[in-house]
Amino acid sequence: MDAELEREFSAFIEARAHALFRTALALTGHRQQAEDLLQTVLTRGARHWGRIRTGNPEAYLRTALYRQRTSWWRSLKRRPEVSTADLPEMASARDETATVDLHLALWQALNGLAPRHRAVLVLRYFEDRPDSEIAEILDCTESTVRSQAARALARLREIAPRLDILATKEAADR
Amino acid sequence: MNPQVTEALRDTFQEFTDATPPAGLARAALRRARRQRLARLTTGAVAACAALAAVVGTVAVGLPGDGGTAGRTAAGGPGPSVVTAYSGVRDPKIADPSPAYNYSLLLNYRTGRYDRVPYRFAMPSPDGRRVLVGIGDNSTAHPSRAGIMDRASGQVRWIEAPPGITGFPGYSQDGHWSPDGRRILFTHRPRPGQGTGGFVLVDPDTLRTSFVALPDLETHNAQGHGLTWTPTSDGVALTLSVLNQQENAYITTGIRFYDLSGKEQATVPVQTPLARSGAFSPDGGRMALVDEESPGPETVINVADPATGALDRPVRLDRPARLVGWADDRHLLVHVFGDSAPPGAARHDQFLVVDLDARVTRTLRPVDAGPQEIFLGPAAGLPADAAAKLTF
Repeated sequence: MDAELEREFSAFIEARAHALFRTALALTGHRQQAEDLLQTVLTRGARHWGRIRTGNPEAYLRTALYRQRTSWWRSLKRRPEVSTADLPEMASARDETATVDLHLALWQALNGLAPRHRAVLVLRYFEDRPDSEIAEILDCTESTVRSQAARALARLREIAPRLDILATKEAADR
Repeated sequence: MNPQVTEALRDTFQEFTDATPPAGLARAALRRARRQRLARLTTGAVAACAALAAVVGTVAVGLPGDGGTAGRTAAGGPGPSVVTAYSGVRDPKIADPSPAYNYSLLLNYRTGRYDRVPYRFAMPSPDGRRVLVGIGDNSTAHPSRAGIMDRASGQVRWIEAPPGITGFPGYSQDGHWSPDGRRILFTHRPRPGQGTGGFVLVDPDTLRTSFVALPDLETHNAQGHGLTWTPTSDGVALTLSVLNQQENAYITTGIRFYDLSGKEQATVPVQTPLARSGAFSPDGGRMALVDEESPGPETVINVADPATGALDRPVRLDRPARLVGWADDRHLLVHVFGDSAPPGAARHDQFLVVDLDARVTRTLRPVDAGPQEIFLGPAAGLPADAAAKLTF
């Protein structure tokens, strides 16, 4: 890559680093892992910058983040999942403290999901993507997206049985 | 879809991902991309070396000065110091880049080679008898633990969290031995709402831990620096920084020194952060200041007086470099990368011993491992042939 392309790549990353890092953090739930994931993907982006710069580089990098994260799962899936530790008791009143507790408990529960399940939830609820786009990004069918989302929510219920709002079983599709 | 679940998930993701990205992402990505390109060009030699390392569990080092350094290198013989550990090496055979899968290389003084150990962090004690080790990545699947490994037996005693402290060592930086080897220091920065920041001291003999609150870690540390031992082992130092909102840039304002009870001892004004490695010369008479977050085409290591912050001199290198530590009170060891070598210079990584006038007095070739951290120690006890290759 010549100096001009390097400058262009650096300017692009500087402008989009925050958004990309948020996605990496949503996918991993852990700052250090998010940094590593993003760095891995950006390194690939730097290698291919000459090719991807004329298209939609952000879409390329986002897709790479999701695929990189979920592909790790394939190599990890023989390892046992570890449930999260005890979660805080939920207050029934809907006050501000209860909301904070709910979000914290949800975040901890999300950390117990398999990366592919988590990725589906991130794409649906963090990025508000339609199932068709989620399917394209994760390289699967729309019906797989719906079943993965349903399983993810079911798994959340298992991990965090005390979270009242998860008690109602969700339909597989939206 | 239950709208409550949708709302809660949206809010949770929004809330917990509102974090500042690390600095220097593009530069680091470009640097890694260059290295990967270089690695592909030299696949044959590197693959053979990696395969051998994987089989025998040790890594050989090259001869010093391989490839030359464009005639800038003075002659040098065996010296009193050596790299004792390459800590946090990524295994290319594992796709998951989590540091939980990293390993480390420890110098075997009997053979003069580096032995692989299954810890993502490994720092030998100053006397070499013990090694502070770390595992995990603070995730649910791989919780972090820190322990002390006996070098002779390989057995590890794991360190427990101090009473009342949650998230240790999960939200702590990897520990560091004090220069006298009598304590270990962990900078502890818990998540918001999980307690106060400070530091944890560990007695390596008894594993007794104590926590010392240090509010400055949160209030005067916008850049998130960790604590560093003072050379006398009786205090710690912190680089103070603030965020300039208008320019969205961090500004270093000084170095603050504390005793081991957390009481402030002195603050000296400086404009560059204390180096992460090799902050103080062995005699404590100098400190090294480096802006590692904003590296440029050249490297400037500001050598200053710890008592006043006054700049002694800048040590300028004409290429990107990482300060590894002090070879002695008047020489620095820096790591330069092959992919940033100027025309005519060696195209592989090198360690350069430079004096305070930036003259290179010795060149060595590091293990081709890309470690997170490199630790130095005394060279006494190495076989003569290994000492000739490894010491400075």
